[in-house]
Amino acid sequence: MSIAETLTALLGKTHGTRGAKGRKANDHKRAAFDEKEIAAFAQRLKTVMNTDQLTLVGSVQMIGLGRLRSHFGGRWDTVSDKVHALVRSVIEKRTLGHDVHARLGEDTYVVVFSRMQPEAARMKGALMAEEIARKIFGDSPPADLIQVGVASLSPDDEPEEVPRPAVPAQAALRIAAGSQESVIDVPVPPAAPASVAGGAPALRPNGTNDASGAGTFNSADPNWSRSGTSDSKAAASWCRAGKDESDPANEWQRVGREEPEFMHEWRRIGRDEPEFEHQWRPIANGELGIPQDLRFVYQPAWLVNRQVIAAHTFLPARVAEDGIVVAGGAAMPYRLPTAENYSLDLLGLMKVMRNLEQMAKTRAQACVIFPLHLQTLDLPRQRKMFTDYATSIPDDMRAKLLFEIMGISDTTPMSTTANAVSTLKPLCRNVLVRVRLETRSMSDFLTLGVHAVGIDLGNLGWPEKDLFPMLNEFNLRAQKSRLCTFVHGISTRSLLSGSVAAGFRYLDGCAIATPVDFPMPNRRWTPMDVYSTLVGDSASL
Amino acid sequence: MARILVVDDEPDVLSLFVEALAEAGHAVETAENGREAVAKAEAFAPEVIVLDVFMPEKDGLEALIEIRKIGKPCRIVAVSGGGISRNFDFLDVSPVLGADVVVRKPVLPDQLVAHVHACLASAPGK
Repeated sequence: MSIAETLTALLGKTHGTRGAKGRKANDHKRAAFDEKEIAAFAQRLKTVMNTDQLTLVGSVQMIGLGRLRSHFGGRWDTVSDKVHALVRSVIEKRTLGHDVHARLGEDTYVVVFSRMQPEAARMKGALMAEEIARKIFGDSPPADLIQVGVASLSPDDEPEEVPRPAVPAQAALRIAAGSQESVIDVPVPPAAPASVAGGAPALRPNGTNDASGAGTFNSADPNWSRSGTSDSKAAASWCRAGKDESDPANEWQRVGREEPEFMHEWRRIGRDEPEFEHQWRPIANGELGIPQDLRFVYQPAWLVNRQVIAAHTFLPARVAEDGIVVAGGAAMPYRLPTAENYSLDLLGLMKVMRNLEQMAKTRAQACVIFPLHLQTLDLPRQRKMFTDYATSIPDDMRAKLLFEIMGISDTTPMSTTANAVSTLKPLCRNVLVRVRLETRSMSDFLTLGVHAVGIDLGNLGWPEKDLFPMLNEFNLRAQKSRLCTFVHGISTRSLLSGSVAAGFRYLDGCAIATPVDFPMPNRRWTPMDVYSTLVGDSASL
Repeated sequence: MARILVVDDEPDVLSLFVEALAEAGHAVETAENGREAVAKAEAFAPEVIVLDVFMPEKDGLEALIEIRKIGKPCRIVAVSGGGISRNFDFLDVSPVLGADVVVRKPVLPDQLVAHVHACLASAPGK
C-alpha cells in the first residue's frame, strides 16, 4: 500500500467514525480534504524518507478532532484556534527533528514518527491524546474525544511496477470498537505450500567425510554461508555448542575424532560417476586449490512457524588450526575461480544425493537445501554438465532438494537470475535465492517463481544493534513481495530470536543447532532448544 | 519506592516506561540490551526488572537465565510485542526460564506500572 493510500485509508476511517451530526455539519468542508492535499503530504513525506539515510521503518499517526468538534457544537468557532494551537504544541513537544507532521483538512493531524515502531507510536499517541484532552478539560476529561489511529509505514511503501495479487481481506483497515487504536495489517503472504516432508522415524546419522589436517588460509569466500564464525568469540561459542560434553549423541564431536576420509570420498564419488573424472581427479590430487581438508556438513534449518527442523543446508566445513570448526564462508577462505566453484557444486550435489539415497533405504524423510553458485548456471558448458546430472536424479529424490542460488549481487542482470531460476525449477522442490541484506527490489523474484529470498549474516561482522532494524526492513520488503525469507550465518541467540521477531521463516541456528555430517529427518525444535544448554537438565524440549 | 530496572532496546519505549515508573515514585535504572541488563541487575539490585525479550547483544531470555543465576531475589516481568512477526513463542517460554509475569505489548505505561506494583505486592521471584 502506498503512502498516499495508507493516509487515505486512515483519514477515511477517521471521518467515518464521526457521528451523523458531525458528518452533516462538515460535508461542505470535505472538499478541502482532498486527494491533492494527501498526495502533496505523501510526496513531502517520501522526500524526507528518501533523503534521510537513517530513516527506517516508521509509523504514521493520525489525530482526529471530529468528536471534539461535535462536543463543542456551536462553540467550536470560538475555541478552534486555541485547540489547534494546543494540538500543535503537543505534537511539537512529542516529536523530534526527523519526524514529519502536518494538518490535513479541518480537524485532522498527521504525524509520522520516522524511526518508531507502531507499538511505541500507539503509546505515544495515547499520551498525546490524553495530554490534549487534559489541557482542554482539566483532570477529568470526557473519554474518547480525541481520536488516534496508527499504521506502520515503510520508505518502500510505494506502488510496485509489477502487478500484485489483490490484497487479502485481512489486510483491510480495522479499528477496535471503542478504542483509540487503529491498525493497517501488512498484507500476509499466502501460506507457502509445505516445502518439506513430514516426520519420520529417528535415524542416527552416519559420519561420512572427515577432514584431514588443517592448512593455513587467509580470507573467506563471501558466496558461502558463514556459520557463526564472524568473530573468534562467536566461533568459540559455536564450537562449544557443538561439543556439548553432556550429549553423547553429538555427532559433530564424534566425527571430529575420526580419521579424515575426505579425499577418499571424492575419489569414491568419482569412481561411481566416471564421466565426471575431470571434476574429481584434480580435487583429489589437490590441483584445483580447493582446501584439502575440506569436508561437508548439514546445518539444520528451522521452520519457525511450525517449530520443526524442516530441512538441512549443505555447507562446506573445516577444522581450523586452533581446533575450532568453521563452516560456510570461513571454510572457503578465498574466492575460487569459476571452474573450482562449478566442481564443488557438481560434486557436492553428488554427495547430497548419495546421502539422501542412504536415508531413503531406511525410509527416513529429509530435505536438503543445496546452495550453488550462479556462475555454474550462467556459463553454458558448466550449466549443461550440472543440469545433465541433476536431470538424471530420480523424481522422488529431486523432490527432496531445494536449490539456493548464491552469488546474486545488485548488479546481476535479472535476465541472468531468471535463466538460472528457470533452469533449476524443474529439477527440484523449490528454488531459493540468496541476496544482500540491503537488496530492496524483490518483486521480480516472485514473478520468477522463487519460493524464498534470504541472506547470510556470517560474513557481515556488523554490530547486532545495527543489524536488527535491517533484518526487519528486509522481511518487510520480502513480505510486500509475498516471498518467504531465510537467514544463514546466525552466530548468537539474540540474532536467532531477533530473526524470529523480524519474521524470517527459515533459520539456520548455527550457534544453537549443531551441524551434522548427514541430513536428518524432520523433528521438533522449539524456542526452549535455543536456551536449553544454558539452563541444563531442567529445560525440556 | 522500589528499585526498578527497565530493559528495552527501543529508546522510545524505554523512555515512556521510565517516565511512568518515575512518576509513580520509583527509582528507575535502564539498560538497552541483555548484557547491560545482567550487569545492572547485579550492581543496582532491583526489586523488579522489566525485561524485553527481543534485543541485540544478548536477548532477554538469555539475560533472564543469567540474572536468575546471580541469585539476588527480584521479580521479573518479561515483555514482548513479538516483533514484526508477532511471534510470542519466545515470550511464552519465559516463565520456564524464570520470569514471574508475562506481558504482551502493546502495553500502556500505566498498565505496566500496574504490573510492576502487582509484582511488588507478591513474593520475590525464585
